[in-house]
Amino acid sequence: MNNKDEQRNIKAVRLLQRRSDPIEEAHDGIGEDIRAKKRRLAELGDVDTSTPDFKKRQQAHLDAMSERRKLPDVDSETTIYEESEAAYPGVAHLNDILTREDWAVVDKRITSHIKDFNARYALDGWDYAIAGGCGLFAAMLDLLFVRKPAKPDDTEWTKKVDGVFNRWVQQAFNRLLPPEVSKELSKLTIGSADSRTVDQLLGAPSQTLYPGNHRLRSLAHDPILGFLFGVLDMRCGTCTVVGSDGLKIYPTTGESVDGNLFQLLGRMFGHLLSDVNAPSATGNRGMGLPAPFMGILRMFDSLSAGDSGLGKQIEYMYVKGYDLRQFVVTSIPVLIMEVMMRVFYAVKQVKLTGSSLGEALIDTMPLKMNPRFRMMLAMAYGTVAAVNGAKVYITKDVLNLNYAAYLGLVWNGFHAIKWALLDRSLKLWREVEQKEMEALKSIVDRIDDLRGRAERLPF
Amino acid sequence: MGSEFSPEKIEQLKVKAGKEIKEVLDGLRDDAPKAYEGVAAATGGALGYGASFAALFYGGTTVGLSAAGITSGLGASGRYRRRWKAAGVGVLAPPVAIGAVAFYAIAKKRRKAKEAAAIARAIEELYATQERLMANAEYFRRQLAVLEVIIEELEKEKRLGGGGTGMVSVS
Repeated sequence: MNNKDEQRNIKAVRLLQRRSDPIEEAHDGIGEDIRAKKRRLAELGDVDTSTPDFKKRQQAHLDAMSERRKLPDVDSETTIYEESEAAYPGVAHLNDILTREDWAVVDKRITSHIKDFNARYALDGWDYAIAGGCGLFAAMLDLLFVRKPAKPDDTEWTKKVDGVFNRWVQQAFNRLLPPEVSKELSKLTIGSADSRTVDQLLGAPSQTLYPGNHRLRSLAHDPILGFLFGVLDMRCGTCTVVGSDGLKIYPTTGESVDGNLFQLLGRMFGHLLSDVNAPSATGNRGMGLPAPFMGILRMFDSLSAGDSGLGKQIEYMYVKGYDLRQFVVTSIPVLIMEVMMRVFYAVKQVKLTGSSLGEALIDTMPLKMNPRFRMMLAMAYGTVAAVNGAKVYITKDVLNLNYAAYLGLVWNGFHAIKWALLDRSLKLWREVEQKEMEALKSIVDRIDDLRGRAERLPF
Repeated sequence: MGSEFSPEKIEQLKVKAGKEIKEVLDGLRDDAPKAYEGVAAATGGALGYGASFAALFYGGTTVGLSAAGITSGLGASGRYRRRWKAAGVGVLAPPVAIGAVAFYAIAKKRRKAKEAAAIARAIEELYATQERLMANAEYFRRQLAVLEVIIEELEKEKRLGGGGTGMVSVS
C-alpha cells in the first residue's frame, strides 16, 4: 500500500469508527426508552408473556419485522473515501485509528507470529549438536580413510592405491569402467571440443593447451559444465578453453559434429565416461576428468593461494592426479555425514516436536529444504572444511584437500548466508503479512455475515 | 419486572389506557427507524470498505470481493513497480546497491506486515462495534415485538373490561 492509499484507508477506517459513535449513543437512549415503556405498560396491567399464544403472536410480529430488505447501496470507492477525505483533510496516521491498547495487541500478535516462525526455522540446541557432531565425524573419516590421489603417471592402473575410501572408489570404477569399455566409449568422439594441443586452436598463444591438461582446460570435459560447453563446441567447431587470462573460445582445425541436441548430449555423456577411468598409453592411472568446476577455478589465477595463484594450484592438483575419481573419494565422508544428519534430524523432529517422519524428511530434501537444515549443513561442511584445512596446512600438501567438503561449504554457505541476511527477514514479514491478511479476510467474511442480519432489520 | 396495584388505581389507569397505549405505540414506532437505520448504513459501509481494503493487500487477486476493491488493488501494485524503477538503484556501486536493495526490501516488507497487522486490528475493532450495534438492533426488534403483543393484550383487556393476573415479564 503506498502512502496515498494508506492515507485514504486510515481516514476511511476513522470515518467508520466515528460513524458508529452517534449510533451507539442513540442505542443507549433507545434501550432506556424501551425499558421505560415496559415499566409504563406494566403499570397499565399485567400480561402473561409466557403463554404459547403470546409467544406465537410475538413471533408473528417478529417475522413481520424481519422481512428481507435490500441494504442501502454504499459505494466504497466514492462515498466512504470522499466523505473521509472531507472529514479529515489533514495527514492521517495509524494512531488516529488505534489506541495504545490496540498497539499492544498488534505487538503481541506480531510477537506470536515471530515465535511461530522461529519454532519452524530457528536452530535449537540439538540442531547445533547434530551439525557439529556429524561434521566432526566426517572430518575424522576424512583424516582416517582418505589419502591424497595416486600419481597418475607413476601408478599402474591395476595397482591398489592408498586409503580405504580411495581403494573402494578405485575398485568400483575399475569394475564399472574397465579399459575395454573406456576404449569402446572413446569411439564417441566430440570433434573440436576434444582439442588437445595448441596447434589445433587457431590463434591461440603457446601453452594454452597440451595433452596433459586438456581435460582440465577444455570446459567440454567438466563433468557438469561439459554438457553445455561441449555441445556448443561440437556444434560450432570451436573449443572453449580456460587459462590464467580467463575463458576463450577458439576456432579449431577440428570439425563440428552433426546431430540434434539429444544426440550431441548422448555423445558428450559417452565421451566423458570414456575419459573418467581410462588408463594412460603407458598403462598407468592417467588423468581422468577434472572434478566439477575445477576448470572454472583455473581462471582465478590472480587470487593468491599458497605461494602461487589459485589457478596454478588447481592445475597442479589436476596434473598430480586430483581428478573426478579423487573427488568421489572425498565425497564419501560428506555423503555419510549428510545421511547421518538427515537421520538424526528426522528422529529429533519426530521425538521432540511431534512432526511426522515424512514432514521431517521433506525438511531435508534439496528442493524443499527447510532453511534451518541448510544452516545445519553449512555448519557441518564448515567443520569438515576447517579440519581438512588443518590437514592440508600440517601436511603442506594441497593434494590432501577435500574438494567435496569445500564445494559443499560454498554451496550451503552461500544459501545459509543469503537466508540469514535476507531471505529469513523477507519470509518472516511475508508470512506475518499473509497471516494478517488471512485474519483480515476472515473479518471481512464476518462483516459479510452481518449483511444477512442487517437485511432483516426493519430499517 | 412487575408491580402490584390497588383495584382503584387499576380502574383509573384503564380509563386513560386507550390514550396512553396509543402514545406508547407511537413512541415505539418513532424509535424503530432510529434503532435500525444507522446500523444498516454502517454495516453496508464497512462491508464495501473491508472488501476494498483486502483487495489492496491481496494485490487484487482475491476472488469474490468487490470489483472496485480489486481495481484499486491492481492500481497499487502498478505504482510500486514504477517507484522501484524511479529509485535509480542502478547508478549505485553494485555491493552498495545489493545491500541497499536488500535493506529496502526487508524494510518495505516489515513495514507492510506491521501495517497489515495494525489495519487488521482496526478492522477487527470496527467489526466488533458493528456486531455490537447489530446485536442491539436485533434486541430492540425482539423487544418491540414483545411490546406490540403486550399492547394488543392491554387493548383487548380494556375492551373486555377485565384485568390480567400474570406478571409483565419481558426481557
